[in-house]
Amino acid sequence: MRRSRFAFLVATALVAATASCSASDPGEPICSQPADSIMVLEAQSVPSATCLPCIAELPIGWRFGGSLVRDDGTVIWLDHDRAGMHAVEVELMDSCDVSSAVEVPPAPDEVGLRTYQEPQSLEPFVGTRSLVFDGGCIVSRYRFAPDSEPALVIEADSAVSTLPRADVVAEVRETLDLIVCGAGAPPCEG
Amino acid sequence: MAAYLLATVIGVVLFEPLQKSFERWDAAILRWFASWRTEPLTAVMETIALLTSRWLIRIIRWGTLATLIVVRRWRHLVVFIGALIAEGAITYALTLGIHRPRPLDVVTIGPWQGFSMPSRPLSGLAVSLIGVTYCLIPHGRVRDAAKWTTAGLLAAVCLARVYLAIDHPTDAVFGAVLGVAIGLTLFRWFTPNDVFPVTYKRGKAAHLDVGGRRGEAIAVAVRDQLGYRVLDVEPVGLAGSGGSTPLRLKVREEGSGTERVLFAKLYARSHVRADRWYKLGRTILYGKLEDESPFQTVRRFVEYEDYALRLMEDLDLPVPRPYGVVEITPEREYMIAMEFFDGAAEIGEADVDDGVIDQGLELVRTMWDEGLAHRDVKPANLMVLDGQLKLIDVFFVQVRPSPWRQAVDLANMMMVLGLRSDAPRVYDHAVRLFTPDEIAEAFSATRGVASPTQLRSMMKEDGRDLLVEFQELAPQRPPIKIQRWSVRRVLLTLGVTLAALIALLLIASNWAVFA
Repeated sequence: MRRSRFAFLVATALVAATASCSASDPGEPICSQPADSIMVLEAQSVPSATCLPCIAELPIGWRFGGSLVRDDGTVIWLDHDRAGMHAVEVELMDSCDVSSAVEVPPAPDEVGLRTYQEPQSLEPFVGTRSLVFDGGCIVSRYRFAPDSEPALVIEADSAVSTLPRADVVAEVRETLDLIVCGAGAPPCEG
Repeated sequence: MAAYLLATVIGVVLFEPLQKSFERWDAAILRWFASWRTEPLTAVMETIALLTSRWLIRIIRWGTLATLIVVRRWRHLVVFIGALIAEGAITYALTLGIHRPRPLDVVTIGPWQGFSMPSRPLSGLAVSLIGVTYCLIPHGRVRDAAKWTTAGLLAAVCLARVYLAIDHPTDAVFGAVLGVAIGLTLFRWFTPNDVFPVTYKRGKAAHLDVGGRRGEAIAVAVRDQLGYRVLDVEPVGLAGSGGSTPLRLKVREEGSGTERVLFAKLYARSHVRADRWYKLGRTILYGKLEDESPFQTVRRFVEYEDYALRLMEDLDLPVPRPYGVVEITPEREYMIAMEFFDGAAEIGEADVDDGVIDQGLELVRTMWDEGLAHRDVKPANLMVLDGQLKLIDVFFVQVRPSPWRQAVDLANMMMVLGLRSDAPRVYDHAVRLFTPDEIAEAFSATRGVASPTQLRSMMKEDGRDLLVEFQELAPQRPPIKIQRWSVRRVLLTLGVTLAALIALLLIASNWAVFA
């Protein structure tokens, strides 16, 4: 009995070790890796969305906080050593309300998307930036800790980018010969 | 179980290289299911899939936890909480390790969250249903039916989630099997049915079931080791016993064919653990009042009681004649057999005349003179047979005890005798064997924990404040403090508090499992 308990503990530790043995956080959507399962999962969370939020490059001081992907959308958050935990929260949804926001020219990596901003406070910086596109929108919410520089928002913007859904669909088609159902993909069964 | 987990490890390691095959195989099954979709069938499947809704799983879990608290089945409660936390942690780690997206090639109908393999809702439902089966349903046909019901429900939910393409077929099966395996393993290891049976009869956790295979083992062991054929085994005096399973054995001697009745006490490892916790609790609550060193094995338990019986018999104290120790399962279960006082009545139900009072007091006097303390003088341990007082249950006997412990024995004996007569009468008899100062010391040393629970509750029922009556009869003496402080007590208290805090933090950090 003691032996089998020991074997159970060893096997459990092995399962946990094997499962957690990964080079990077499997929940971190990286723009340069469209075939990653988290990107596929994101695409599945809002099948109508033609663009998906992802992490381009994290400037010094920023780190990926986590992600929550559900059948009604995806939320990604970033932490910063001065701006605090959950300093930026990026949400992918099928629609969003931008009636109280101001439309601004899109950044170079946002060409073709309509961009809206709604600053609420400068110190500490609190505001919203929305990207609207066919089939969905991406809302970035900034909520910095007191005494953190508002200029950090520029770094945060450069950290988060978008990836065309079509890239994810094509990667899966190529590697698995299967369809990620939704926008930019052939019709699925059911 | 270890083989199953090893297979899981291999599966996790091989999943990535074999992902293409897994995905294609699952997609083919999912397409086939999706080709059968109709509106009415989808509605049925959506209803079945509601079994994995968070709310339903919460209701099952909270219902089970609440029931376990109401029926005070603490061990099952702890194991159930442990199973839920283990299942939550293992499946979470696995979903991140495998990081498999939701089904491809088919349209998903219904809610989901996160990576798909293993299916966390199915795993959560499985471990919860196993918890209900092993914590609330007694062993036997009803539990067997519950197991089949659980299997049926899990199969139906797997089918529904695959039909709706919420999970891949492999996710659903893996999740259900994992939840069942975690639950089964923990419940079978930590709450084995023969030691911790689920029962709704009134009784104490210390009392073991003596039917079935254990009953057969007792009969074989008594025949082989004592030379008696067991004719009948019957639990006896359960109300007054909390640390063993007391039994009345009707036996026939192998050679002569003489029939007789024996009294036996069955001990298992659970009793050793209970003794350890009991002594730890006393040390924390009162300090080291007396010898609080715990026993390490069941064998030592029975060896000690057998020694105490033989020692007291040698001193002509009215204890049962020992018949020896019986090994039921080596290092796990032992039984000590002794004379059964057939026809004897517990002192709480017997006539207590002057003769019985004198015998009780003489018994304590002899123990004092011989350097012994019984340490568990209570009505359940004093029997009257044909006007003769008998002392049973010598498990707590201590050799060369502290004067405090001996004084407490005297006070407890006087209170037991007083319950069936009155304080002045017992006091008058006591002063013939003890000095008033010794009696005063006994009552200044005795209060609260110093008296056994049964004696305290009988005194409460009686209504008279016997302790005060005796204290008024004896010379005045300030109470003797029973709190003993030491570095060990402080460290133990801190250690237990810290362990409790860690357990609470563990539950709080896994609160999502429950809420």
